Amino acid sequence: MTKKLFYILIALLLFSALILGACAKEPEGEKIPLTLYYMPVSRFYYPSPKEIAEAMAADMANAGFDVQLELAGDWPTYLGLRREGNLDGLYMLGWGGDNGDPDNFLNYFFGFSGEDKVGDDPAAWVKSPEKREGWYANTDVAYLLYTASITPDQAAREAMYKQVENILHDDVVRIWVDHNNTPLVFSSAVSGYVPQPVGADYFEGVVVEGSDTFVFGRGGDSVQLDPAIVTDGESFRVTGQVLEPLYQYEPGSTKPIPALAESCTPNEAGTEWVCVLRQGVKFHDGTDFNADAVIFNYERQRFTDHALHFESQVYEYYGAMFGGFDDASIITVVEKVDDYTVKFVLSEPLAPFLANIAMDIFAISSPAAMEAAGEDYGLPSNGAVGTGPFKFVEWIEGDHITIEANADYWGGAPAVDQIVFRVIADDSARFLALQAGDIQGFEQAVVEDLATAEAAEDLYVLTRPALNTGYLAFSYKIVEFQDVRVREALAHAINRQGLVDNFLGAYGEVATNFLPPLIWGHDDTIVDWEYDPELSKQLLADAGFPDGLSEVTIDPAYVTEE
Amino acid sequence: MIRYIFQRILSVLPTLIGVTFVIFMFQRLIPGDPAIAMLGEHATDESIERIREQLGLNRPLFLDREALVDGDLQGFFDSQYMRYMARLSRLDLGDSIHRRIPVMETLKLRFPATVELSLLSMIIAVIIGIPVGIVSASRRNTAIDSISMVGSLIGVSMPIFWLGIMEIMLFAVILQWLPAGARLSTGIEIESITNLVLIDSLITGNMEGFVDAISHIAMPAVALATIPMGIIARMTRSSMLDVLQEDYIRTAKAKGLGGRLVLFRHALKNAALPVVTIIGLQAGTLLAGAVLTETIFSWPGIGRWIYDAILGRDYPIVQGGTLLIAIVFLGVNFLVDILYALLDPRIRYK
Repeated sequence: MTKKLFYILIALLLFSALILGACAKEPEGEKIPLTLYYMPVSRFYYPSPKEIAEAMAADMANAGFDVQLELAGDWPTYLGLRREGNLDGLYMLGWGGDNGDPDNFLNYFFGFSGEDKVGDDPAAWVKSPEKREGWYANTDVAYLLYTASITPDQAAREAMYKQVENILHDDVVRIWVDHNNTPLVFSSAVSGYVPQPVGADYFEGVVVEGSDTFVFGRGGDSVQLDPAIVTDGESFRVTGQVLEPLYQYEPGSTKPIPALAESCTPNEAGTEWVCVLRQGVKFHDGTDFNADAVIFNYERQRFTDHALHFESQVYEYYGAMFGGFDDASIITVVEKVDDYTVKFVLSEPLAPFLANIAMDIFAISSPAAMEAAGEDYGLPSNGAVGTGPFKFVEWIEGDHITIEANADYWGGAPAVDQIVFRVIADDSARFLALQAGDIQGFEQAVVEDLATAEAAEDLYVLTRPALNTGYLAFSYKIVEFQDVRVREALAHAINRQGLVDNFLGAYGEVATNFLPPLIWGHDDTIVDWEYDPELSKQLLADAGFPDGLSEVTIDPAYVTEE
Repeated sequence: MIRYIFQRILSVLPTLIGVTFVIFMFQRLIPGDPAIAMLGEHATDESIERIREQLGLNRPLFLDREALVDGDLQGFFDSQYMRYMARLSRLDLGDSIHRRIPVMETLKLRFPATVELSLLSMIIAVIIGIPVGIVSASRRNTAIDSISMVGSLIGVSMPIFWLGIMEIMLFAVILQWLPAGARLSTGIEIESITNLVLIDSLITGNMEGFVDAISHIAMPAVALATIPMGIIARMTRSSMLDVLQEDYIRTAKAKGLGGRLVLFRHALKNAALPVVTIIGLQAGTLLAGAVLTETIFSWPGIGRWIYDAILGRDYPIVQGGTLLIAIVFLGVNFLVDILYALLDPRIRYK
């Protein structure tokens, strides 16, 4: 018995050594095969990543790039390797916008981050490459993005973002591949659903013929219903119905419009915003919505020692949108002017202020409900209490969430009595559930099912306007990729229109900018990389690879100064 | 017999400790951690560090060598594994990392759903599989035998995934007899006593609830039963055929006993031994198959839950869930061992 155990242990140890060995980094300076890492999961911008990667590799082969496909692991593994700069080659990734402001796309990747901002003179800050994707670091771009973020004038900002897009394009920093309008499929009994490019979809106008309940199918469950501490769309889809921010996005667009606030106006310098609140609004628990509630919600997110800011919670977005917590926060004070007026004082102008406060994250919860639930606010046992058109009813984890109409909603009671969000993890099963009548609408349909849905008389398809960009990134640690001609050669090698036609059909479009056309700052005048294998070969030859490229070198000391 | 049971129980313990060790280690050997899984593409380094610290992921895995050098004995043992084992010894499985809900609480809700589905599947598999096997064996090389054996071969090799989708297409979409998924219809409420809705609805006399529950569980149970059914049928047949060739069966027949009596009284009991073993082993297959079945039929059990937790690196769920599955598997096989001893006196007296 003991002997057997001993052998098992030895075997386990050997196995772990093997795994650790496989995880070890490539020796530096050595030749490695040219590799294209593809994503292990589908995203809106890449609905079938493996097949798309295969098509890209085939295009590249035509232009002399002998590229190997590799699956680095599951999604957290993939993101982890990318974060540590260990996807050594080309890799697929994308971005989905959070608030419709160009800052939210560009600044995250190319702007200054905390440790870059040393000294009082922003023009002298240095963009550090280590922490950013692909290790591309351009101080000019970062400075432009910083200036744009503190400039109140939108036309001036727009010009700066266009300039950034042009630099990124000329540098071939990434190959922008596609934007995809995501389809939602509904039973023809349903009408009035408004898909949002940003923020939660509008459910209050939904009417279901012959039923007072609308059942919506989705691939995954919400994580929690406290929007301040989550980052996933399935949580916001529900909290967006129950809670409201001061501003929201205009139906079908990315433009911030008043919600719980009647107006928010900046001073001339852009450092103070005065928000006049809607009067007579009550939370679902009967308490009043007023200036105190707004201040409570913002302070709770900002102050790490606030009684309801718990250590086990991660306020990812507050930190990202407002520069950090406590003293690092750009919002330095939220001041009560009177019961229905608050003043936000900022440490520096924040151009995307309205777009930020319209995010679902900054929706206002009932302070009384939060205090009563404590750390359990937003969990299935408590749900969320806000001012929205629907009230939380129940949450059976992994199965469904039910919300019901708020008859006293300030914007008028919704048409439908009840909404059930049902989790159906499998894509095919979700579509079958719609056909069987178990659900009346859902998101994330596979291409084959979409064709069926379009042809079916009792179904129809709506599209969510694209606020996403799929791209192919370079690891700048690879010596060959440091030559812009090689990057450009790759950009010309891929038939992106072909990819869109094959994998996204009518819903997708080729990306020429990082910013989708829906966002201002997108530059229409950029001349896209044409699909031209001959030009690609020529560029590759000019860069010193007349026989094509199949192996690349890792540069251990690489720090970009571009 | 009691001594035998006691021995068996003792031998289970080291296996369980081994299981905790293996689950713990393998989870942490795969790259990517809960912080990254939680925050996805948008994560900043500060928040990743913060989460790692909160979750104790910055502690060493097993033992802290540096603390030992400093003479800090408490720090030496303050590792992720030791913390986990300490909690486990208090029957605390920890909280889910993403949802912050105690794992035990979710297990209480979800595990009964998986048990209900697996048990019903096993019952279906046994009450169809064994008779089919017996009939095949007794009518060896007839058309009935061929048909049932081809049928069971198809069952064994059936991809559950495909079968599930086909079931939904036929019964939910085309015929509209059954719902396409979930455990109950919305609006149907059944008072929870055992959390097995079929039983709860019967106890409380909620006939509407019972019918609703049956209509929901029918398709997944049949899908999940297919493979074990085929295996049990084939095993019963071959085991029966072996036994039917034994001398004592010939003797019994020579005594003039009727075919049915020989078959059920004499042959079946001995033929049951390998079949019982197979049924025990199938418990594992059922739990594994439950992941697929639960996914297709949106069944709120632990299979899909653990699978999602692995992708999200939600260590406490994976640890708690797999440990429970290991316990169930060991438990079922423990029962099989006991049953074996009851069926076969030779084992008892060894």
